Amino acid sequence: MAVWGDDVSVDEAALVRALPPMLQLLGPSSGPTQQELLARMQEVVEAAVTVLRVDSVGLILLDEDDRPRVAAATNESAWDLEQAQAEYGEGPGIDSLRTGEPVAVDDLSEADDYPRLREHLAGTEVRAVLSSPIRVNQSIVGNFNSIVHEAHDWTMAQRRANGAYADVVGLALRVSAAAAKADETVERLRGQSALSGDTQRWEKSVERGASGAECEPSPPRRTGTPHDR
Amino acid sequence: MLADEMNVIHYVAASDGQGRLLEKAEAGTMEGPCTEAFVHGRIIATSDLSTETRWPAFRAAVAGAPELRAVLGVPVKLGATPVGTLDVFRDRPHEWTESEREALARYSAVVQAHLSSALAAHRAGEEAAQLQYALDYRVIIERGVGYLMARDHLDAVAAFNALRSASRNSRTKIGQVAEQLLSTGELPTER
Repeated sequence: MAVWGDDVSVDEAALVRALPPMLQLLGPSSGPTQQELLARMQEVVEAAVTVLRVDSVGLILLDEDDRPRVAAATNESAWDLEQAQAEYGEGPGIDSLRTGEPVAVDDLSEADDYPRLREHLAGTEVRAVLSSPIRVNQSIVGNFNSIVHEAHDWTMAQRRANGAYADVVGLALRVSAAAAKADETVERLRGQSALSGDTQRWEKSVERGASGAECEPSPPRRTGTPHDR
Repeated sequence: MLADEMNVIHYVAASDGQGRLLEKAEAGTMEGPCTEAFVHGRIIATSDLSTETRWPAFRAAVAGAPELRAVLGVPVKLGATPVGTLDVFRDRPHEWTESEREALARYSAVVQAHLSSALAAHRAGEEAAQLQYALDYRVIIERGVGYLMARDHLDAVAAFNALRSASRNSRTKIGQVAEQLLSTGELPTER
């Protein structure tokens, strides 16, 4: 069955057929570790420089108190930009967070809207910045900033691409959160089943071919069984 | 495009009708730049399909789509194994530059990162469902085992095996088999 969204179509049946071999390749381990999730997020951010053909990118995410925090940057100057925005509460990224719209600055050294940021970054290589909001389930959770080291007139194609990449980052965040949450649930349920266990012990002893003597269960309950009728 | 269990790649998603046609023609003829990218695990490019000689069947299959001219296919891998391809096209002849090839390869790595996390989430979700099922039915299964022990003078393992065997033979989950045993006094296979 094909699923359509705008012009995009997805063949669900083919996707389902592709799942088993991919799951097999994933190996026997359970959910991804925190390090693996971070490494994948780093991959997504680093790839943006090549994909979008910019000099660097930075990522700001909102914390649980809705304060902007620098989450990633591909080089020192990008990190500096993000940190300054978070600290001063001004900049294209902050405006993008506030309005939910992309914000383009062609030349930060002439950006009168951001005097503290402009002063802070004077003499650095950060010049043109394009900020797009990152959404997870329609909520703004951060922003994605592309940086060019010279004054630059951001084209419509670049604005669209930056927004699309911000969506990719949002998807990465959502998938990572889902993976971490599912793994947490597995751990909790494993803990609960380890607490009980007759059935589990029987399963294991059957697998080992052991006798049942070592895992004798409690006597059969009679209440509610056909024996009582 | 993604591969199935027989390692045959199928069209899975496309951004538009032409892209869909490209992928379906590749899957149908089992040749073309994307198929080759999957088989060899490396980037494959063609600058103009109208003059391309490497894939005659594929070229014939897309002959009715003059918008499909330049194609670039990169493998999508899990670990080191190709599991599919990510493909782009242009509607005019185009020599793919090194930076375009590199950009698509990096974007393929992003797709791989997404796939890995999504698959891990999928598997953890399935495992959670199985564990939850086992927990929900634990007491019922234990009661079913106890019932069989008393009824058939079995030890615990033999009784559990009887439940499990009835579950397999009737293609019913073991918890439901135990539930039926407790309500009717019979295993589904004893009817």
